[in-house]
Amino acid sequence: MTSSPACNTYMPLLSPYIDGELVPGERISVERHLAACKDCTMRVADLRAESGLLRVGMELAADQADFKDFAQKVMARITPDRPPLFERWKLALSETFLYQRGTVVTAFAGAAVMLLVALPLILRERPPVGYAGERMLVQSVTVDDEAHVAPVVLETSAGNAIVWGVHHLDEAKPAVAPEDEATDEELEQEAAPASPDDTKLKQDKPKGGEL
Amino acid sequence: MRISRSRATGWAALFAVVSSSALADEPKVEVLADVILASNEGTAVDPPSLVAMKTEFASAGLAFSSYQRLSSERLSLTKQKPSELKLPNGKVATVKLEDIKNGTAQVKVNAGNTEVGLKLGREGQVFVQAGAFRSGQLVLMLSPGSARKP
Repeated sequence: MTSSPACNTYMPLLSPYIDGELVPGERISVERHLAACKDCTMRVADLRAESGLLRVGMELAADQADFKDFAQKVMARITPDRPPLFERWKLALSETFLYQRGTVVTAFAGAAVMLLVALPLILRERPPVGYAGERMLVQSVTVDDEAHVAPVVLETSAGNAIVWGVHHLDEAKPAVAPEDEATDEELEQEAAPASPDDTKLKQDKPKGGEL
Repeated sequence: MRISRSRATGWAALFAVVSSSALADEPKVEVLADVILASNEGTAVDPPSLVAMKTEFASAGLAFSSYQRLSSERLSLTKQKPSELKLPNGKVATVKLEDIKNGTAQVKVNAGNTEVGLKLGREGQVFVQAGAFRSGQLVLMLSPGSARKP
């Protein structure tokens, strides 16, 4: 197949012409030449046939290839070693702060505001530790034997409790002559009270607090 | 086996976090403890807020004319050891957290010759006779921890 000087000029453009890579001006120029040149028209036909064969061959090869987990395999090849957890955290944090600083700052500010609003409400609802009960209550009272007093729990007008020691009546007995057959009433009258308060306690017979 | 510095630091930090959270779990209950001197010497009531106490004592048959607060302390009670309160008569009163059942603290108070078992509540007060002092009687007044000092 002989080639004229014009063919030599157009031959390098034939392959790009088939592939559609020429600019419109070049394409029109090549098409004009092809209309006049039989040799180049045959060359173009050969190139098209060759290109078709190549495409079919590539498609056959692609059908035989296994593309399962292709992306993972590629990523595994390009990521050499998995860094330690701390490094990954550090990297993730630094990247987050670098590329999404605005979002992070906004999120933190929002969380802080929510905390400031919610915390007082939560704390106000909950009673302090150990104070689930409504009122203070006296459960038990014991007094040392050596104290020679009896414990009394008095309830006040406000519902509070007073734990007070009252002297035993037995201790007042020696004040009464042994031969006297004193009644309890007389004992109470004769027994010298330790304080004016004790007298009042005995007279009033306090009702006592909650036990 | 060689442990890297960063790993050792990580373990130390983890240990610190775990131990601090364990310590934070130890329950602490606050209670306000006032020591009042009730006597028949004079008619002073100091601070004036103790007028309410005077009225309550009178209604219960304990008619003292003078009430004076000698000390006021907010105690932080734990199960581990009792909180001590030095009384002006040289004795020591103790307040100990015994247990917390259903959110209610049970407290043991030892004042003078008396031992009192209490259940704490958000309202009310408990007055415990704590022995003689000068010519009057010392009274240990226990109030909820959230109560303000009168």
